[in-house]
Amino acid sequence: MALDLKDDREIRKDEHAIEKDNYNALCVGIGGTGVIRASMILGWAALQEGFKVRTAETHGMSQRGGSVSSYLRFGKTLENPFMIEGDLDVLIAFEISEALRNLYYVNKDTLIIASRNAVIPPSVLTFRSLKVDKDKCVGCGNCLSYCIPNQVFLENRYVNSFTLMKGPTRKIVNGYSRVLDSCTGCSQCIIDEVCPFNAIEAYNEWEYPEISLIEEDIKAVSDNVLILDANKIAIEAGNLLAANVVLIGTLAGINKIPLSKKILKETVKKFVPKKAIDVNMRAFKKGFNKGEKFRQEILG
Amino acid sequence: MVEKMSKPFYALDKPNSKGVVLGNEALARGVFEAGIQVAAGYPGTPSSEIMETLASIHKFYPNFDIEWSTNEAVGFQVALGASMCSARAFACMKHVGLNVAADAFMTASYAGAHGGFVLLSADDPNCYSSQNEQDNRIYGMHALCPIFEAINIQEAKDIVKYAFDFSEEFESLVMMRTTTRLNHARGDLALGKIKTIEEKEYNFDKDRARWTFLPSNARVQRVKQLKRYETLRKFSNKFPYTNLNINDGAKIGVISSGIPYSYVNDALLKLELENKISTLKLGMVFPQPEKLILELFENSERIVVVEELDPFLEDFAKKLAFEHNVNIEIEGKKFFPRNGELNLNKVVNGLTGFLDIPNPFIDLPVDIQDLHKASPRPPVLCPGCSHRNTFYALKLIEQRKGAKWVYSSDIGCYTLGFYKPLEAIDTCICMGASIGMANGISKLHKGPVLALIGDSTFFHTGIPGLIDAVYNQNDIIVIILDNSATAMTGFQPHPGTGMKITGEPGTKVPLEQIVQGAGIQDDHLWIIDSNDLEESTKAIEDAINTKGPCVIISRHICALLDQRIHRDKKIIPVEIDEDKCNNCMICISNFGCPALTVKDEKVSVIQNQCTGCGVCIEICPKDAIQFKDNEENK
Repeated sequence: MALDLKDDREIRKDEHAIEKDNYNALCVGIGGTGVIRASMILGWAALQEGFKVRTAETHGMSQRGGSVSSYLRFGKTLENPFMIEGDLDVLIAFEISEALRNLYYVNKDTLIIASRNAVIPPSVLTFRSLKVDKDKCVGCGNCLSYCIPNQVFLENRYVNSFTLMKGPTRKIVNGYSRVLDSCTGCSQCIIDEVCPFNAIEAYNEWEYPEISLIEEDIKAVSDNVLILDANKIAIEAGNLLAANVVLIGTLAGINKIPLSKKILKETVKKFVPKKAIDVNMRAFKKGFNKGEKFRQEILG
Repeated sequence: MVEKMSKPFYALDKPNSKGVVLGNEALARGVFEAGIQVAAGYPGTPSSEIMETLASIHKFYPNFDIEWSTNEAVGFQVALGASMCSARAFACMKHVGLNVAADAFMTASYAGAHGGFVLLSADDPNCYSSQNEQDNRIYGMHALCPIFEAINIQEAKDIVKYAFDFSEEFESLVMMRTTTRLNHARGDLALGKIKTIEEKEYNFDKDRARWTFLPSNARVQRVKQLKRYETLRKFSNKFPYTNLNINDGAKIGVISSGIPYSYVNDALLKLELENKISTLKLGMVFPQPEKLILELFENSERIVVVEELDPFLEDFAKKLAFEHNVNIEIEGKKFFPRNGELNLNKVVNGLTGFLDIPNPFIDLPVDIQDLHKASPRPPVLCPGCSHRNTFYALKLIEQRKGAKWVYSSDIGCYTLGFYKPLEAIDTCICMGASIGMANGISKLHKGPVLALIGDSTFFHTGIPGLIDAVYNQNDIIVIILDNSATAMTGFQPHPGTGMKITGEPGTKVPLEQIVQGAGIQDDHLWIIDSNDLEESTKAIEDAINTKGPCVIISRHICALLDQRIHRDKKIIPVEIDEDKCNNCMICISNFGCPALTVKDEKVSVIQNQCTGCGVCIEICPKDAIQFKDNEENK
């Protein structure tokens, strides 16, 4: 990956008023969305710029769907890949709630680039359940025999006994109805207004916040936030898988850390399959334009 | 990596060229540069990629031998055998793997190495993907085996390469101890020269008394080992990757090694103390460099030891101070936690605490207290995972029977069945323990006792437990979850797959023949397709009604592996018939495939996640799930 870097570096020095010893970046998202690949591209680019490079990853045990964080530091004097909390220069989020999860790394000046991409964890759905408001319930027992899943179970050989063990979904305890573990959270009883006192409520043990609220929260902590739909832009460019390259292009367009457009572009080219280079270059350009526009509007 | 289909960077014969590589790739490169002749190991996070990288180098340089062994003990023994033949040998495992290999390790360490022998132990502070966070430095000390640690990717490559020379020079085994943060970190690496393997015959060295540990020989070897240890103790002060840095006028001395040292480096920079504190960085953490430590004592008023997990260096420093009558304050675990992984925040916090100065980074620069909380993403079984189907079938029959079943389980992807909604895992201690524990539980528990074990784990250490069940007539049902891979660590092949680490064909060892050979009769053995609920439930029911030890081999290829192998295979995903679906949520709340989600209060399928296994079609009570039937698929 030998490149002629001389001209490029001179340009960079002009554009970056504050030269720091070390830079901290964090790429976050969920498994299988190209987080680690993106961080590798940034790392190789930083090496081309003549920096020391350190990256580290944390991810859960599952092959797919878990949170993934890739910490990237480059510079002159650093040795370890983890930054101090609140000391981040750039946060790139491939999934919007993952940006929210990692806000303790940012400060008011941190550049946050987040994709408006929401992937609801299966556990939010699996841990959905109903509860009975004790103040409203009179213990009439109306709801005990009414349960759509329990009725349908009896018709299917692969589910009936499954719930027979789990038993009824409700029982009267101390004078009011209690929802049991066997409840699947389908909420049909609420829709059908089985409870005359509206005492049954659906709730999630864990909540995935509304995207608009997440965006508000992210914008509340930093002055430099760009939220864009990288997935949509990638599809426009020709392939959803290029979403990570859209975000790298955006980073290049904003030009806040000393990784030049030329080197980032070259590095992306080396990391994607030959037949996908055109798509990725389109994705890079689209992202770059977004970033450049943001820079002109917000950063001046 | 740089160019598809061409040599990856770590296999290039271009000394001094630079790249960004994974710690494990750097370690493999170091082993390769040292002129490795035999490498053996068993997959285990965070060590797996070392052997895989060596295997990928092997494609271009097939002049060494590499194998996935059946378990770590065998892997260690294979490497030991090669060392006996004066070849350079490498054994690679995760920290708990050394528990399995410990029997051989303890004794082999008496005899030492003939050809250079490096044992790599990848520790996992914070249990990122392990059942414990044991500190294997204590193992090294136990075996009087020198232990090396690296602070970054470059050192990892350099030190592991040097370890082979060291091993031959001192006729000693060497333990290269890494942690997850080195194995799974990336950093810049300058390649070194590749050593050419000397062309000669590497026959077994008939030094019979050295390799035969009869008591009379063992006593002699023990004395030799202790002598070797004395030599190593002295050499430790001259270890090339150990570095004592005394700063003029510094009153504080820091002792550290490995990744914790990298945090110390950056913490001192952050606190602007790099010129006011003396540091001793150890590349060889056992035996410790006594002279250098005493020199640091002399030049300091207070000492702090920064290390992960156990107070290994701290205890030694205290002992040394006591032996030499040095009256100096030595701290360590008082300021740095003994559990979990260190990071820059923890090290800054510990150092400022020790120095009794305010931590300037204690408060976050932004207030995030009142913001929304992101929902957690606990690990789940993948979409289309065959284990889910086996668990579902088991739960189904358990409920039909009404008795409380015990699910004694093991290490692998299937351990994730612990979580909601399946909750089909009751125990998981170590590799192969499922069957052994089930044997014990079956002697007391009233009700069926099942042992759930993966295919690779069964080969690893499950077989003796099964033989025990047959021999002692323990009434258990062993379910071998055969997904044709060591899936959790990255789909490595194993004896049951008949493929070697290099991708070349080996001889397949069929599970069913091993089970039969262990004494399981045909009427006590069922082989089923995990994705066939009808077959599965029937087999489970039959096994429950059969007395004596039974085995069910529940077989279906890992859904992810299947997609990897058959990239061109057309996947027909399922879809929801909204007219039929009554939103009972059974498919989500009881089955829990991540490809099924709720969109606008309705069940829907995430099309690019669905693997098209179709098992959810079976479980839907309303026949509302069906294969997508559009023109494209016809």
